[in-house]
Amino acid sequence: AMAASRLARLWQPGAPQTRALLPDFWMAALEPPTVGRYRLPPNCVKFEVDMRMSKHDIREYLEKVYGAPVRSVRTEVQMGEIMWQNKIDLQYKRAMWKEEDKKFAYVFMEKGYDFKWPMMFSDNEEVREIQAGKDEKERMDQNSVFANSDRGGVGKFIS
Amino acid sequence: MIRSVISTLAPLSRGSTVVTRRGFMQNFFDDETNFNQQELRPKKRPGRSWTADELRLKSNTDLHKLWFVCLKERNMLLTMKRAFVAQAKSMPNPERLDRVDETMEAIKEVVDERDEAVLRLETGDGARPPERTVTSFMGFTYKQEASEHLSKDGKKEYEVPMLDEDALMMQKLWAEKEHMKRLERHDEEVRKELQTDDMRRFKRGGPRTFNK
Repeated sequence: AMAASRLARLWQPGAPQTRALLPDFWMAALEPPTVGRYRLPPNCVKFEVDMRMSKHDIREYLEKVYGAPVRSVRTEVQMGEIMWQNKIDLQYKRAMWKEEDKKFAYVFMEKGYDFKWPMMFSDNEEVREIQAGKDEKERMDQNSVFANSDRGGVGKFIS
Repeated sequence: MIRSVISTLAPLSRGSTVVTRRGFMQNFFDDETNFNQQELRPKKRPGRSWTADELRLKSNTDLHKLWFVCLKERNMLLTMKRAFVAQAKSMPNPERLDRVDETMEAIKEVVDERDEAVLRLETGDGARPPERTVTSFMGFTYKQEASEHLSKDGKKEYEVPMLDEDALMMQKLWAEKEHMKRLERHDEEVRKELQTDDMRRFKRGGPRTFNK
């Protein structure tokens, strides 16, 4: 903020590094689904990152701060959901509430890297059954948006 | 605020980064024992944030190291928060996030102070960017910090201190309104001075004499 606004002397090879970086970026690891169309390959880790970070920033951050074997980084920006009160608002784009925008990073590590998200909450019968149920539902639903979409809505009322 | 990671294998430490069987990703997770807790007590209770006074005693190297420790702690806490929220659960001791943020703000404050002092000694100008006086569209002037920008053909742009009709009228009317407000305030004070205790006690009563 303060001293960063001063234009420092252009660095040339051999000159001493007179500045130390205190990065203010944050990264949170996210658990990707294991089933469905949004599952990721084993060497990919999904993060939610600060909106201002670029792919280079993410790579440098992980390599320097965490020592991660990064192969490539892909980013995705998701616009926050806007809640429209009525159709007029939607037409004239008068938004009352909007969720914050999010940036996700899909970081691909070296081949052979396999990170399995740990079981964070009690690993008992009930939890495993619930998860199995969720996975099965995901498998059944994953094509429902695309299947039979050329029928003009015929037969959708009857499940 | 430095937490110790319990692992079955002997951890190889790379500074404050932990490298165990789960690799660098272990840094994004809290102690396994903390996952099913409602509140971390009594031994694992988190400490308070660093104060600016405490940090002023530390060297620049120490502050640099503490910054990165706080950074990784913040990332871990954010990961945990999202994981708990995804399972419709609440994270134990969410005040840890605020405390880390406070510590980082304090570090920034101390580092900025030191930068300001060093640059003022060496160059005469401090670390803060210079302040420029800006005139708004309605004619009000305010101070603003200068920022880096591209110049047009290397020529300097100067602000022309002339107001257009609307801005000029606005400034005149604003000055008039402020003047009236001052007069009214003065009148109010004079009126309050004239009020006696009896008048205040009995409101509508009290002797109405104007012997000054």
